[in-house]
Amino acid sequence: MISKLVVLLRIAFANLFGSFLNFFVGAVLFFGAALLVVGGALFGTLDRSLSKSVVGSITGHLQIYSARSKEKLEVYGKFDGSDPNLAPMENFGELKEKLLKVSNVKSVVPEGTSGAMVGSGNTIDLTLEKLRSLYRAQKDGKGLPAADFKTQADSLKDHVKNMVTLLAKDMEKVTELGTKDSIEPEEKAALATTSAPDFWASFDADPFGHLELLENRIAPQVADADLLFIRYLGTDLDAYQETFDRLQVVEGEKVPKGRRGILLPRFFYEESMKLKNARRLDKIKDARAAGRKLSDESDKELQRFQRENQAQTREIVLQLDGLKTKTAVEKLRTLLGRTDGDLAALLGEFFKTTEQNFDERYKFFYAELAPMLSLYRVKVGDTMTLKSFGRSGSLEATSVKLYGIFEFNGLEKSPLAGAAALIDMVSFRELYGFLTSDKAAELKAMKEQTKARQIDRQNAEADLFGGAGDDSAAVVEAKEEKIAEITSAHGLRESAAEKQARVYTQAEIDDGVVMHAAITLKDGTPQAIAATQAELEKLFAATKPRPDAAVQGAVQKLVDEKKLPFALAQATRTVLEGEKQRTADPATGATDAQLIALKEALQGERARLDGKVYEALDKLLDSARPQVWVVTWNSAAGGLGQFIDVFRLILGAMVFGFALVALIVVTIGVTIATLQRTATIGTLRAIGAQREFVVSMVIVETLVLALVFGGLGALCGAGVVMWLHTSGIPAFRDELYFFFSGPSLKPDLDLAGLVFSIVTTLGVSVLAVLVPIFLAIRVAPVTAMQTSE
Amino acid sequence: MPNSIVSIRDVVKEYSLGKVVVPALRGVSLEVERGEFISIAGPSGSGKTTLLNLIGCVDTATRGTVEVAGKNTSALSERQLTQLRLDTLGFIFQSFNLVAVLTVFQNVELPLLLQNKLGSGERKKRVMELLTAVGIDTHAQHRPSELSGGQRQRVAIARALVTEPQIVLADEPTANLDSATGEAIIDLMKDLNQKKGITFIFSTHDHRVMKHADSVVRLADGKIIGKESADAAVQAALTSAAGRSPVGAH
Ligand SMILES: Nc1ncnc2c1ncn2[C@@H]1O[C@H](COP(=O)(O)OP(=O)(O)OP(=O)(O)O)[C@@H](O)[C@H]1O
Ligand SMILES: [Mg+2]
Repeated sequence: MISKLVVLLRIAFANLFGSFLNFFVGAVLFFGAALLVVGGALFGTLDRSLSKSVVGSITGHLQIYSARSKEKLEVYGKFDGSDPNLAPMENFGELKEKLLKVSNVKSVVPEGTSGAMVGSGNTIDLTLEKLRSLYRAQKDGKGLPAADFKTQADSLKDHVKNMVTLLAKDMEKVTELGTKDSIEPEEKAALATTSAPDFWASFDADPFGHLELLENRIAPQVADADLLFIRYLGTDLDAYQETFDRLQVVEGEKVPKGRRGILLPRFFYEESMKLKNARRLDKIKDARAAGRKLSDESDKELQRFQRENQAQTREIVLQLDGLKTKTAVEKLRTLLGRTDGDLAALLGEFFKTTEQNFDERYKFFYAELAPMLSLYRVKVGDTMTLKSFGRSGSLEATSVKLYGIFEFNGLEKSPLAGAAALIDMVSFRELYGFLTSDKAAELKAMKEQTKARQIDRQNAEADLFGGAGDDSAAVVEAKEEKIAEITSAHGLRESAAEKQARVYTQAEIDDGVVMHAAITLKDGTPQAIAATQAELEKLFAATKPRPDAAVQGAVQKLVDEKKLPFALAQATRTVLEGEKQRTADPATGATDAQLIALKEALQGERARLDGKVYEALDKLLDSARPQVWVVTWNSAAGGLGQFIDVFRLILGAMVFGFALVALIVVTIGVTIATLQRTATIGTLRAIGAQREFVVSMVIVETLVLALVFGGLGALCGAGVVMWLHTSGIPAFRDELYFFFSGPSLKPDLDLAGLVFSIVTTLGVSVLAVLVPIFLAIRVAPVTAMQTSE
Repeated sequence: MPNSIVSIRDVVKEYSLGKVVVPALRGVSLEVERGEFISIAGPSGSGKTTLLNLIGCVDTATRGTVEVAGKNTSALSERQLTQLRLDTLGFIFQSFNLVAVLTVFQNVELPLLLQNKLGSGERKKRVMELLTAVGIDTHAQHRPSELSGGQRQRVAIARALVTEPQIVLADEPTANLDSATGEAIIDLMKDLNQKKGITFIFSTHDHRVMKHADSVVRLADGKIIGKESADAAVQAALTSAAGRSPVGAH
């Protein structure tokens, strides 16, 4: 045996480098094995790091949401950017208590995602406010000396005039382009009036009347022109900050316990809240630090930043009042060596930065201009007003204090991790248009009692935020009174200041509706996640209605008739089976995944299905589903979670592709090699080698080939992975930060991957050897006699 | 016939090429004594190779019996035939048939490894002895491609003898060699035959080779037309060759 192995190995190794063919086959095995190791490590790490990002910033390991929801939970929003239609979960407090009793559950954090509009900077409001107090002080005789008053007043008036003029110009453009066909004639008229010289000439005659017109008609137009959309995650901020400890407040502070408040993601804050010109200067600076050059004409992005900075100086011009404008003009003239030119022109020139002057201009901007500007629309400590359309379509608004700016450790640059602001649960509920359930009930009773006073929220809202159509003090007063009445009666509406100051108890935070909740686990390994998911499903199985034999019978009939589309029939059958089992044993039944699959299939086929069929299936679903679904984080991450599936798919495809190519190449290679060696095989047979010796020869040779080249490839791959691990693959696009769970991906080499790659290579080779073996055993000893050299 | 090591009786061998049956041997009977140094002669297509294949157990007769070393080959299984070849027979091929990727030493050692009877020390000793005997010991670590034809055939002879077989079969062992080398190879075979008493059966066209044999079996058209002494056979061969072509007057 041993001595035979000696011959086999001797021949195998001797043949290894004996033919060009082996090199070709070897090369395929080498690269294949290397690819498997590198690809496996890369995708495995990517898989893990993306999970880490998702799990550690929003989803936790498991998510629960109401099983009454119309759509699937997708915490990052649907493909079109809108939020999935979820039904709220009532009584979150109870749910949380129940969940925390499960041994592997570490924490339960309520969540809900939505979007709102944020009014932009309040430059015009602030300026008008200043102007009003200036004139009021003057009127009350507590004002400044006349000369100072005039300078200040003129400066502020200039500022407002400036803004009005700019707005009028914008409006002209819009009208010309015909893009906005619904400009209110009143707005237009107001703009015409206020931008006319007459208006400003007569200002001092009736300052308060003029101010009123500006405040009511112009200020909203300026604000509306610059509304910003913000996505936010409503949550129990304390629990959230405790659970997702990658969260780091980099400016300001955490929202104090029990308070209302909002935290903005740094990325959003910089990208959307910062003065655009400043932001672009920052970006140019970063780009230059990364080696890019302003002089590079082909760098489209840098060129665009330059262009935009020169053309879009309006935001700066708008912010500066007369006095500051003067100062800025002087400074800019000195810097640029000019004797004339207005602010816009000077700024345009200032932003013409080059490789030579950039550093100087950047420094000048932050040292000289920035102190006169508000660099951010909202500063930490400011109160922001968020407006959103609640679930009933009504306009909801709430004011929250911006406590701080946050980022996720390692995900600093990821737009995805920084996509949503964090807002307290109470404000979230308010914005979403929820009342806590008991309050809603109370309100309903109240409404019925006092029908005469019935004012629905929507009207109250409109009155609060709507225009001052009829401004007579009496009317306003009456409205305020009504609103105060219902709100105070039901605790619905407190003043902004009251809201800010109030500390909510944990019960108040928990006791109410929640859209979904993140569950983090003590043991977060995939197996533990699956086990806990099953355990929770079992827990919620108690909330399923009793199995309904009639419903099952009706569906069984549909299935038997074979009229359902294939996928739907498949899903139906599974659920039906589960339900039948549950009838016998309440602890069994279809899993959430199976039920959700049926629901998805049913939703998908709805348009094509007969009404009655739909109804029957819907009833089955209804009778089978628990109160809440328990889903894994990757399912909850929706499209993003699917990336994981994509990674796995790519990896699978890689393995399959390699296996297939290798199988073909090795089979062809070894077959040709065997055919070429017919004479040798014949000779060996003639001089007394048995068939199995010849078979062993082919196998050993191929295995040696696979082991040597595959092994070398795997080792090389391991080397590449190790090198990548130390150097790291930088996240060359900001989006990648999230996938990489940090600024660079450092693929980990795992032994399993290495072994897997070698085993795959060997496995393929064993398969590849079948054809050559078949040929080899058919070589008769007599061929040895017939060969000539 | 107690001393016969090969005993062939009424053997018919037919090859079928599609529907055509080609008779290669048409009723051959032959006894070969232990220790004989025998040549099989005959024109091309007369059935020399076919006869050697039957004796060499790499092919089986269509009819008739072939006994090698006392065993009826038609009664043996494929495995048993292979084992018989390994233990009892040695082969020397017209084209040497050495394994190109192995060294001279390894080629000669190969049958011993297949046999798996000797330890590595004994193997080495046996191989070197034989390499010395065939005069190629200095080339033990060379590859066959580095040797001349005559040297290669010496290696092949060493390989055929390494297992100490009872019979060595050689189908035109000198056909790929020039005549001087061919004669030297036959001398070597003859020498080993005399020293070790191994039976040699070889086929040839060549009368200079033929004349070294103890006796010559003459084949024509698939039949034995006579078994005679080497001189008589050479004579006969010369006359028939002279009758056909002017070559071979040497
Ligand atoms: N495998 C085969 N298939 C068909 N016919 C064969 C086969 N081998 C040999 N023959 C035929 O059998 C006959 C004898 O052939 P064989 O090879 O034994 O002759 P030979 O005496 O060795 O001739 P040569 O001197 O040319 O080697 C020939 O007619 C040949 O064509
Ligand atoms: Mg022949």
